[in-house]
Order: sequence, then C-alpha cells, then structure tokens
Amino acid sequence: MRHGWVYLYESPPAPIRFEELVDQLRHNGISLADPGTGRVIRLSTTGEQILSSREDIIGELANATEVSFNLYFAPSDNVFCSIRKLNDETLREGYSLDGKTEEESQHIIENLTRLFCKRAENGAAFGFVVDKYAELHREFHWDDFFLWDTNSPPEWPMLIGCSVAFHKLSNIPAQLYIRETVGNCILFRGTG
Amino acid sequence: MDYLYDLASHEIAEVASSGSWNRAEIYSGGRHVATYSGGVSGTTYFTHPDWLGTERARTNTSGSLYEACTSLPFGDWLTCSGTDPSPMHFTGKERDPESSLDYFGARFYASNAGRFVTPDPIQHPSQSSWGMETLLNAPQRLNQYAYVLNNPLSHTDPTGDEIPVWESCEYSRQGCSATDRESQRSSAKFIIGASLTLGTAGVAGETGLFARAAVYGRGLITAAIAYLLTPRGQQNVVNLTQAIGDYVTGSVSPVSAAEVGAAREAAVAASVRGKIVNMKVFGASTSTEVDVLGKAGEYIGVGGPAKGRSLADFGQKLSALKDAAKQVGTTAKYYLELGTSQAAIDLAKKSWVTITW
Repeated sequence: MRHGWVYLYESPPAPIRFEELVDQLRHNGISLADPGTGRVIRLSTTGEQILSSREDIIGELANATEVSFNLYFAPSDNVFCSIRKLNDETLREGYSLDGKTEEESQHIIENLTRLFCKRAENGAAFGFVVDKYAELHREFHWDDFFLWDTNSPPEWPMLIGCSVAFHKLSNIPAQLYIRETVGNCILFRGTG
Repeated sequence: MDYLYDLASHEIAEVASSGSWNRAEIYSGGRHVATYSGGVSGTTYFTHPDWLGTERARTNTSGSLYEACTSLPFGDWLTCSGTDPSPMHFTGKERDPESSLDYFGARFYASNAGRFVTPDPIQHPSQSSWGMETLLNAPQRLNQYAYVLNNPLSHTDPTGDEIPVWESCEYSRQGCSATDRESQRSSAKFIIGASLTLGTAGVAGETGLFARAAVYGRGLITAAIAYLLTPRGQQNVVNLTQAIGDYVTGSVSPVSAAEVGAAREAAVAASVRGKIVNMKVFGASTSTEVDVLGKAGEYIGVGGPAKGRSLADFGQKLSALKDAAKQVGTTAKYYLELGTSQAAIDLAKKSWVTITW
C-alpha cells in the first residue's frame, strides 16, 4: 500500500507492548528476525541499520523516546515499525506500508487490527488508524486527532478504530463506514 | 554581431560588433510583445500575433499599423509590408535573413519544406521509455524531421525538440476527450522539488532543476494536475513561469491526498521522460519501492513533506533504493517536493556524500 501508515495509540510500558506485538505477529508469519539471514535489525534515528536482538530492543525501549526496527514476512521484505513515547501516558506504534502489495498490506492490517482490539479490551489501547495516504498529508498527523485538539482529519481513512471510552468517538462520521463493535473496541471500516 | 538570450532562451538583444545594440526584444509571460528597434534613437513596435504566436502585425507607439505579415500554415511564403523591425516571425521564432531558416533553439526549421533540417535531438520514441505505445498512437513521430506532427495550425514546438506529450491523445484511435482538453489547459500547473542524485557526483542548483522540470513537463498528461497546496508553492510556480518564460499557471486548487501522490509522480515521470512503475525492490535486509523508472532505467523515488516525519524510515528507504539500483547497475535518485523538511533533504544529501558505489 503506497504511502500508507498504520498507527496504534496505547499506554506504556513500551517493552511490554513490544513483546506483545512480536509474539502476536510471530504466530501469523511476521517475525522480528529476517527469515533469510536470521538477523534482527534496529534502526538509528537516520535509518542506518544496527544489528540487534529482541533483548537489545527491549533495553532501548526502556530508555529512548523512540525506537525503530524492522518486522519481516519474507527474506529482506520488511515492515518498518517504530514505537514512540508521545507523553507519560501515551505510546504510538507506527507501521509503514510503503511498497507493500495490497495482499501484504491486508495481512499486516488484519493482524494489527486484532492486536488493537485485544489491547482495547484490556484498556491498554485507545486509537487505531490505517491511512492509505498518511505520507501525503502535508499539515496533518494522526497524533493531532488522537491526542490533541484537531477534531477531524483532512480526509477520513479507510479504517479507524477507537475504544468505547475515546472522547472523539462521536466525531467519526458513521455514514462513511461500516461499524463493528468487539467488546471495548469499535472499528469503522470504509465502504468505498 | 552578437545575440543575448535570457534564461528562457529568448533572444533579447542584437548587439553590433562595436558593442552598441541594434535591437531589443521584450517578453511578458513568455510571449513576445514588442521590439525596440533602431538603436539608442529607435522606437518601440508592438506585436500582434495570431493564436500560434506568429506575428501578423506590428504597430508603432502612436497605435498606427506599421507592418503586416502573411504566411502559409507551415510558415512558408512569409511576406511583410513595410520595413521589418524584427526577425521574429513564425510562432515567434527568429528567421535568419541569410538562410531563411527559423531558429527553434534545439534546431533550425525550413519553412519552405515544412521540416526541420536536422533530426529530433530527443531520443527516438521506439528506443525511449515512452516506448512503442506512444509510437503506435502517433506514428508520425517516426519522421524525426517533421514539424509538430504535420499539424501546424494547432500546435507549436517552443524548443524544437518535441511536441508536448499530451498531444498523443489527438493521434490515438480514441482521440481527445473533454477531460483531455481540460488537462491540456491545466497542464504545467505543477512543480517538482529538489532532485538529489544518490551516489553520484553533483547536485545541480535548484533553480536549474525546476526550470528543466517545467520545460520537460509542460505537456503533462491527465494525472498531472496541480498539487501545490500552500501559498509558498503557488508562488514558486509563478516564479518558475516567469523565469523560463514557459506556459501557464492560473489558480491552484486543493486536491485530495491520492491526487497529490499521483500528480507528484506523474510530474517527475514527465520531467525525466520516464514512467511510473511502483516496483518493489530489495536492498540489504529491507525492501522499498521504485516510484518512477527513468529514461535510462534509473531508480527514482518520489516524496514530499511527510518524509521528514520518520527519518529512520526514510533513511532506510534511501539505502534500499541505492542498494537495489546498484544491483542492476543503474543510479538511484530521489525527488523531494518543495516544502520537504530540511532534515529529510540533509539526510538524502548525507547519503549522497558518504555512500560509495
């Protein structure tokens, strides 16, 4: 999915969230290690690859504001992921879908959707968005909607989710979506 | 005799060997509007062209008719009444009085034959990235001496190298739709940003790159509508148009994100005479996408301001693009739209400086 990003808004601690996501995705063919080389790759703030390990990333997450790493579903075929501390109560997981096929993107999206709903059920996540055009919005970031004062994005995305307690739930235009409710998790899937 | 040209390759003055000037040509918005003829004691003659820019009449400062010119469709049989104050005639191009050839920049044109005197300097379409599809839609392109596909009443060739790409619809089986026409009118309402060549030497000045992009992209196809959303972007279009004397602009309307992406890539594809491919490629332990394949097979990425939001992701993509290009023996480039953060541009430049092929 070209230009696409998935964002998941959740509560700390980051190392626990990281372990959850790695374990969840591993069962569905998405691994932390490159299946071709067995290498785990963490990224510097400017994108240089750093040979890493699960433990190394956990250690980084405990200290750094943002940690980036790759997830793999085929040799050298990665999904970029970053976990960023937005404030003391909020983390943002970001996944780049740039360059992924529709099939690959759907596979990742469905896995992350399940992960979000599982966390929302536990009160550990409150926002989720799959935006095909996230890289093309010049002035807007989804942080503005989920954390700050912006009440609507320039364009509504293909999939948006929130917990039932999320205070901007009523801002989401229901007429654009098919609504699904799974416990505390509400998903709005685009009809277009 | 010497001639002075502006940055848009317009002849603006003819200077005698003594250093005094004989004639000056005045342009506005890329169109020839007047001639100041007769040296320091001369006078101004205002031009009255037809729809192609061919000069049909000239008036003096009192508004009286000074000269009237007639010619046939290909510019042949040019006949003017009165003393000719300027050699600018067929579609505004200079006619050389000795050879009677018209100077189009890239080559000379012989109006009495309706042909250029040398082949099109642009690579033959059958060998270019436009490929056979363009050729089949417009087989007249096979004749590399032809002038505007033998349709001189509808088209012009501002630089002497090729007619605009969009004109191919007029030569396709389907013809041009109303949408095509609208797109033709609104084409050139775009700009692309700094070009950074990864792993090779030399980054040209931005002004030069912008001008080149506009020159090559002026005949953009349907997808390439305006995508500049900010006042700053619009100002850049205006500056560009003035700088190179090229077509257009008009108002720029906000468009959806999908249109922004498509237009951005179409603009780059047109500027490099490549094609949009959206091809997945692999670097070391990572994959990325080639957005545009250049004319010589270069791997080209296209991005905008949002690239600055995750430099880790962007940096890894730059490396992957370079690795992938190296594997197939081509170069990698990245085009970044105006407004992209300096941090992202610096990152690309850093990669450019430090990576050795």
